[in-house]
Amino acid sequence: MGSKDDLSDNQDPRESLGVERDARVRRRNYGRPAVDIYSTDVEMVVLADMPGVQKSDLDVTLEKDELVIEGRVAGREESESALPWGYHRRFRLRTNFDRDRIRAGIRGGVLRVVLPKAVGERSQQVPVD
Amino acid sequence: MSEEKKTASGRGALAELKQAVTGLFDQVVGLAPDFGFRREFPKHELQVEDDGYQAFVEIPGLRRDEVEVSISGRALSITGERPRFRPPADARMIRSERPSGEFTLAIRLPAEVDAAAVAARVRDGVLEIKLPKPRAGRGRSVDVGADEASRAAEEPSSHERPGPKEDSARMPWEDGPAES
Repeated sequence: MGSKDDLSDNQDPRESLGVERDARVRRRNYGRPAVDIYSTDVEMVVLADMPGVQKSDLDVTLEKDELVIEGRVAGREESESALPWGYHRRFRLRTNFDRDRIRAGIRGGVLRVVLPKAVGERSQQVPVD
Repeated sequence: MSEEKKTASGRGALAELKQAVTGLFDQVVGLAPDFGFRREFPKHELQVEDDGYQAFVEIPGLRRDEVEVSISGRALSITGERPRFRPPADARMIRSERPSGEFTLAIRLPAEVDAAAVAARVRDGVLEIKLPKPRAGRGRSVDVGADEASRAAEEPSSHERPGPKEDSARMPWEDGPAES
């Protein structure tokens, strides 16, 4: 890991700037989801454990160089659950991705975001003499 | 409502040893320093409800048939294994945080439940186990010594659908809705 990574965690303390008050309240008791992230020649894939999150309560956004994943677990706040009421995490991307082809889905509480790399970012095979 | 973190002795210790061995590989590659994930995973909670308890166990990515739930007296036990994530051959891992390996969870219930009425399902990666109180313990009291006939008369006629009800370890589980 280092500057060559395709992304890094974004723990910018300004994170709540510009966020509506309601949204901030809603983030109480949110957890930071564990992730597996891998990169291939053509894409980067983020898998995040977000148990309890349904598709309709999921938000995945890419703004400039920042990928934000957020999901609410329905019913947890109402029952004052000790388990996370939702999940939130931000990543700073260091690679250019093909924004139009990014796709995300959640299944069984596991979020999967596929970020295809922009053509210019794909590594080139260099023949070695 | 408290989060139970108890590990059963005896059988639990054996399971831990087994897990320690199988978890070695994860440890070597730095996924589970100090076996921490065994305490962290799976996260769970026991909620007290009017008619019993409900246990929630977070098992993202696992299906109902990949976890085993059993109850014996007040001991609720959940075991399973989360397979290690395998990226494509040409992939380079950037983060490896999601826990994997075998897990055993032992939850001591505050009181006995109606073992035959216990039902479990997995929804969005959360195992939900309903643990109803024994009927006599619910709501209005039932006369001690009431015979079977009079007790049956009190039961609502349209009761839960009949099914094979085994009395001990194995439960008649309900499966959650299929996830597409």
